[in-house]
Amino acid sequence: MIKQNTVKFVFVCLCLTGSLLAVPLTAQASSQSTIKYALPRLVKIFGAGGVKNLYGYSTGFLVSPEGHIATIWSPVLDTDRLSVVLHDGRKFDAEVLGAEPHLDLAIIKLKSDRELNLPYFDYHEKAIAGPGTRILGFSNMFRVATGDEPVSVLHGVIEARTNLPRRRGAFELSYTGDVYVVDAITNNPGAAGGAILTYDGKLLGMIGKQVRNAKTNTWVNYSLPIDVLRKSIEQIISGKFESSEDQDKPKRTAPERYRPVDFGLVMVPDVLYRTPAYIDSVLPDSFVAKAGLQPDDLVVFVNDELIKSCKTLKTELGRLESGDLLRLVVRRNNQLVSVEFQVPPEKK
Amino acid sequence: MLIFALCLPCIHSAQAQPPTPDLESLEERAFKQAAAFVNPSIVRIETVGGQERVGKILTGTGPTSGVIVSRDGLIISSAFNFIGKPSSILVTLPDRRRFPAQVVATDHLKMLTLLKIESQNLPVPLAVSENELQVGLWSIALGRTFDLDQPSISVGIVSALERIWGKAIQTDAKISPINYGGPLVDINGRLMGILVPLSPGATGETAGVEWYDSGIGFAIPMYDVLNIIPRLNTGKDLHPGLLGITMTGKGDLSNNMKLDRVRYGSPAQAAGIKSGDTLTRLDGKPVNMHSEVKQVLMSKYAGESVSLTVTREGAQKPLTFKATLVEKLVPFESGSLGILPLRESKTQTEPGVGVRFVFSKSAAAEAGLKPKDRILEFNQQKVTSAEALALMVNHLRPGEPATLLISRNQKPLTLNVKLQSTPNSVESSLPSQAQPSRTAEENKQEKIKIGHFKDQLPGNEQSFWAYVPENYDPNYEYGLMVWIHPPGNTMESTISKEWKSICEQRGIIIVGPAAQDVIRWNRDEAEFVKEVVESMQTRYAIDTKRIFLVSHANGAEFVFHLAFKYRDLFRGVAVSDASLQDRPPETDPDFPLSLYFVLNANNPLNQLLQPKIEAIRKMNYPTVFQLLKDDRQPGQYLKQPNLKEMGRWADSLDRI
Repeated sequence: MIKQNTVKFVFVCLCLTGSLLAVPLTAQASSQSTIKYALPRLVKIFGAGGVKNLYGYSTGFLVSPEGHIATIWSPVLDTDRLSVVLHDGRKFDAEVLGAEPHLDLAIIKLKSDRELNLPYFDYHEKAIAGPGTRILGFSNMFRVATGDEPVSVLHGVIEARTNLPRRRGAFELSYTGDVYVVDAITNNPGAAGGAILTYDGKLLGMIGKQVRNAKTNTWVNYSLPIDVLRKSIEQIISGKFESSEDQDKPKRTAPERYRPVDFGLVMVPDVLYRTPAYIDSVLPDSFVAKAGLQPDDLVVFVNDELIKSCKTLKTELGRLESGDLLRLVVRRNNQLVSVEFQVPPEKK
Repeated sequence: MLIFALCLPCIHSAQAQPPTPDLESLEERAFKQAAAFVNPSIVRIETVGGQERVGKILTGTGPTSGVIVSRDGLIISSAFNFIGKPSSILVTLPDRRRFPAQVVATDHLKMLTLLKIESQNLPVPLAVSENELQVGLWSIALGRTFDLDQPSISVGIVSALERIWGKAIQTDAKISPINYGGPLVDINGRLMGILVPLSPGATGETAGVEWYDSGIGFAIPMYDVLNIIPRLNTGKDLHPGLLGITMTGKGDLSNNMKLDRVRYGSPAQAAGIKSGDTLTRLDGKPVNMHSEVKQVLMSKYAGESVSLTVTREGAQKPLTFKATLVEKLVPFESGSLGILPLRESKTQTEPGVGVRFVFSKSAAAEAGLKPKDRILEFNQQKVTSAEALALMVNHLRPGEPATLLISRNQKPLTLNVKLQSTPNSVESSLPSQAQPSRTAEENKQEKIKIGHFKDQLPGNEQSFWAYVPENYDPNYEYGLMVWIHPPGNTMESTISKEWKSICEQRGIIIVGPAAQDVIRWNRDEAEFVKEVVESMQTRYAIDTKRIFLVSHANGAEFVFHLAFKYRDLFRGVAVSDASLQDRPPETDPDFPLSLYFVLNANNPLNQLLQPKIEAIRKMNYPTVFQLLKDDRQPGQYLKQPNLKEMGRWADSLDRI
């Protein structure tokens, strides 16, 4: 009898560790436990499309036990007959509950008469990760999964978490906030709306669309960070949502408050696609003359923005506001010379 | 027992958990630490100005990466980052200090560019030694395009070593413009190599970019980089070394080691290698396959030497030669004497070669050569035929002197000539050679098909048409004009009608193969065209020096494909209202090729064609370019005066 008791005790211990492992988000979670945890929480979405280059499918992930799904805001959702297939093959009709086009986010809800009690991701959990963090990407890319198959899993690391507003116009997207760029090829047809997770099971973000990085002319694999999406997901689910779209519309046209000549700069004629911003002449007694700039200086930075051409110089100067500190860095005989002065009031 | 039962599934799941969590997170920590370790040595590079487009590639405008390689400011980066030829380069260190940078030199073989900034005490990263590199090691690709504080990270393993003909480490980390120029480091943050785009097939500054993020990425090993830095630091660019041989047989896997061609004036020729030699060793190492030859030759720089061992027919022992590779193989320009040889009947027995025509202002004209002279010797060598004379002259360069022994009115005479370049023009008047002609009746009796007829090759359904002048005389050789119709229209009757009198006057036969589908020529129909030409050669007396291709408008693409594919077959290409797509191969004195372009001045192709004409003239192809100002409608064929000039051009193809 004594012996049997000991055995029982050992089993109890094992049982405890066992249940700990089954719950992710512990220090001991591994890629495999994370995959087991995540796959039932990812869904396959089938909607409008199927003509030309528009594919009629995407991916989503459950964010509530009642069947709320976060996914990408795309034409796939633009239909009355939206269907969602869970990992185990259960198929539901779904409706769009709300969307935040500015974030490319939509929330859809499964239609069901019964209480569902589905597994879901806790999107409230704090999770931010830096370059080198291992990630798993979950999506129904290329619609390889149908019916009772779970979605596909990719692995990689975060290449960078990068702030897009600083890289104006870099992506052909309305969204201009932080994104995770990953080194796995996550952004494929149908993958948008999928999820990336850390190896230990933290939900990091929603896989974005297929877009090119205009700065390198290469396709970029990015995800929208969950900490950026969190508030909107919550608001749409609770019905208190106000789209930030109207207030936050990105300004299409750059302001043109100042021209180079307003500071005394006469640039070389802008004849090339990227005419380097060489100073042709400096107006006497002007701001730049007093600051000591000279003809043939090449303007390379305006307040830390690289000036690639006369055109970017114009844009950057146009953006300034009265009272701003203007720091110009020029290249002169293989030296960088920096000058600073305050932007004068705008001439009307 | 209840506890027991409840526990079972738990135990089960516990057992299913592999003991990996620690390893995974330790590895992840190691990736980040490796990146942090080398981070201070990775710089951001930004460029100002430069071209928008290089070839088909839109140059990026974003920042790129580089790696510090000396304490006093040398920075190595990928040459790809500077393909737009920027007017100014700026380097930002991770501590945010900024410097203007100068390009020191570029390595065009390994596609690296060395930069210099004026700074001291910079952190130089550690490098992995050559013998530590192994396939399967973690390899971490870093770049500095996104963020100044932290490098971008992509993780993979070393997939292979000595890839791209011995030049590069291959990795499955994601390599793209995001990290070109950045380092590939091992798990300890030590430099394995510098990331560059490379391609096994293509060379050039953008080759390999199409493989970005594909899981096939390349880095030049650091020990190679460190070796070339002192050479680059002298300020001289490094170039791939060229030898000037082509092999018989196709593809990297071919085992045919016979040398097809040794290029005239190339290092191989200078070393003493000859066409027909069989290559057995390179630098003492046995070579049995084309890929092995590439492995040795394609990782060498111009100025480096290679030893070649060959077997030669007639030589008892293998011969070994040493060649010093060069940066550029100079396009060969054949010298020209400036005469047309007399087209003699097959039965003539007089010695030497008769002069039919002397071109104005040519070398022959300057030396006083006249029609009806007979050339007996060229540089003390007996001249047995026009072909033999042409070969001797073609292998000399313009400007080289030569001595001619001729007979004029049965008297010997020695003339000194200085060879010239072949002019890019057509003689304004060229008397046709009067030769005995036969009547249609005579030909009919001998069952020689003459006039306009349609035909097929035996066993082939694809058809062709031909026009043979009715006065055809099988004792004399004729020119063969191969008409390649533009897609959509065979133009058979137009060509036949417009060219008839020219053909009769100048002794030319026309053959017009028809595309299987008249809408387009498929490139694999080249074989058919060649067979048609060969069948005409067996049926009629054809002068091999005067077989030429003619086409109109967009038939030109296929015509040039034919001309460059069968260089031994065609001696001329004449196209109207058309341009040239492909870059022609280098000129070869053994296969002279003359080009003729005629275009309406207001044809939009004009803009496109002008620079191409310049380029092919630079390659030393004799190229006639006629701009017309006529009122032809688009698509309408050339008028008689233009065709007559084309006829004179065709009648001069056997020019020596």
